[in-house]
Amino acid sequence: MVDSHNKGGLRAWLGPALIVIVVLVGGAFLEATVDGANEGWFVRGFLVIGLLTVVGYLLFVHLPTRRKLRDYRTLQLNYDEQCEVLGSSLEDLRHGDLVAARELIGELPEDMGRAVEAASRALAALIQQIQSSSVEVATAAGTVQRISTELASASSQQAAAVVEITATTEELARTAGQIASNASRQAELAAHSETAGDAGAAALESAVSGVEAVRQHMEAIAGRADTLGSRSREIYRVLDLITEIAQETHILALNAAIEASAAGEHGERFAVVADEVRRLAERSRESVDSVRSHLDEFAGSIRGVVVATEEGTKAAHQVLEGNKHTHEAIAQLRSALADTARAAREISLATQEQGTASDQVVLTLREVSEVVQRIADGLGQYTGAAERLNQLALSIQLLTQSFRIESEHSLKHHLARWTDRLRDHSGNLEAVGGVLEDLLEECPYLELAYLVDLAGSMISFAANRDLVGDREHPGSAAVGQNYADRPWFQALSRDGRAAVTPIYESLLTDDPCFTIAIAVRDADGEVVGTLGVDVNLLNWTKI
Amino acid sequence: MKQEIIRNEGHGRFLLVRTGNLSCALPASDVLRVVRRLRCHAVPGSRSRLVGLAQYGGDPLPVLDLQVLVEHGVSNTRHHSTVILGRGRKRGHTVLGLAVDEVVRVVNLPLGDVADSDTDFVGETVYFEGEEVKVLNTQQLLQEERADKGR
Repeated sequence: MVDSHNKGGLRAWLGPALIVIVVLVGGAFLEATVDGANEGWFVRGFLVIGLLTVVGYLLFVHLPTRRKLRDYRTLQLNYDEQCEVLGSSLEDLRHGDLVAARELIGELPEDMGRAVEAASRALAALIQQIQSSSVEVATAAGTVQRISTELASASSQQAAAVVEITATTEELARTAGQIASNASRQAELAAHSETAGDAGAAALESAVSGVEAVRQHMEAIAGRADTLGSRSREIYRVLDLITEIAQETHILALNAAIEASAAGEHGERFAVVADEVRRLAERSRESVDSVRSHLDEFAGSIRGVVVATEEGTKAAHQVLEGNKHTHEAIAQLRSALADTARAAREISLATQEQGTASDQVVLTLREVSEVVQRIADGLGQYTGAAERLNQLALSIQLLTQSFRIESEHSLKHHLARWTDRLRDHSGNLEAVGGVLEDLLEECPYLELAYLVDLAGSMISFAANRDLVGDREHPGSAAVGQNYADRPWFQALSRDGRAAVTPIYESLLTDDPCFTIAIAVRDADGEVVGTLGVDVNLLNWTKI
Repeated sequence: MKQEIIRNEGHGRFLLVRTGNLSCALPASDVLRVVRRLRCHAVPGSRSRLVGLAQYGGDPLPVLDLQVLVEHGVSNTRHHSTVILGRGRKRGHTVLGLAVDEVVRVVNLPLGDVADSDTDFVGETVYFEGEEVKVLNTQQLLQEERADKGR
């Protein structure tokens, strides 16, 4: 820059020098070529004019040009400085440090500063928008993933249920077929039973006719027995009469014997006759008694016959009455059998239709099962898409986290404020540990926060118990452990800018995570350490 | 057929009757007649042996219960027949009726075969055809009846 300025100053004097040289060369030429008379006037006039030209040139050309050149040099210097500031600001922008880029805006011209600030703000707003959008996308993707997972699970269960329903419906169809077969056989049996009922009814009619004939015969026998009873009573009356005559004869014979006894010897023969008469009367009475005894037996038999015929008639009546009921029962049975046969045929037809319908249902259910299975597969793909969308949102988030903007959701900016607190407590390890604990408490998505020195050795660290739990810390998470070989440490050591690592699997939680490292500077802006945090990606949407 | 002949020595003709469980022999000489179902009219306040009064031959005939006379108990007979007792057939002689269940026949009984003597009315007890028969003293009965009529 200085050399160019010197060259510019020499060029500013080149014009007057050439004029002087031209004037001197012109004066010399005139001296050589003009005659003597006019030589002095021309030379003097030429010199005066040349001198005036030189003076005028100096006054009106050279000095203003020199001032302009000086102003230009000053402007050039300012321009270079502003270009340097602008370059630094753009370099900060290139590294995503929008906060640092805006810190140099005051050194730029007002318009340029406003433009840079506007661009920075617009970029920060865009990044913030992208960041929040990525969170929303991740949240939505998580919701979609959860719902699609649930739907996939439900669809799988539904597919399994449809398969079970299909099997059940197939079993139902088979059962319907068996029922139809049984109903058909039942209808045939009912028809046979109906035919048998007809035969039974005919046999019953015949039996009723026979019983009716028996009843009529019994009534005829009863009539005959009644006639015999009347005859027996007449015989009894005759026997009574004979008995009466025999008794009278007996009395008569006794009186004759008494009279014969009163007659003494004259009455002996009469007494013998009287005794014979008495004997005849006695025999008559005995015969009558014998006849009466036989007649009693005969009358008893007749009464037995009458009773038997009455009972037979009554039994016949009962049989006829029972047959009437039986006839009605058979009629009802036939009607019931006819109804049963009809119902069985209807059941058979209905079950056959049910079987056909069940087959159709089975076909439909199989189609439904396939559809549900395809839905489940589609939901699985949907879940995969949601997972990829979540990963994309995470990538976007990581991309946005590579920027530092004035936002609480910018980890670099957030951690930069915590580095100020760490700087205030530098040298006090216990206080540093407390600051790290406070950091984890404020940022629940962080697994681990640690401070390492310029040599890469861990000074202090704090683990998030909510995420790590009671797991033992791996050997790498220990005070004194050296992190100099870690990429984030090397990147930060290289240009002093915050570094974000790619995603890796945490040794603490086995969850995916990434590390952000930011320099801890002293009051003079010199790097004195590095603050590193491991962000748990299962909770990154809480950022 | 065995003929029974009246014998004067050791035998007498008797009318064999049954009333209740008793078999009695009435001297045939004191028997006027045997009638059946003689209608009797009960006499209020009379002694228990008097069955009642009947009409016989136009005269009132007292009829006595033979079972009550012999056993002094309660009569349970059916009184199918009545034996008319009396001596002589003249009007005014004492006659008396004995109500019995059955009049069997006129038989000859051995008077010497005396088993027991209960009272004056009931005389000897003999066995006839294996059956115990009480021989009644109808004369005393007629005398008592005559004495009663005299009073």
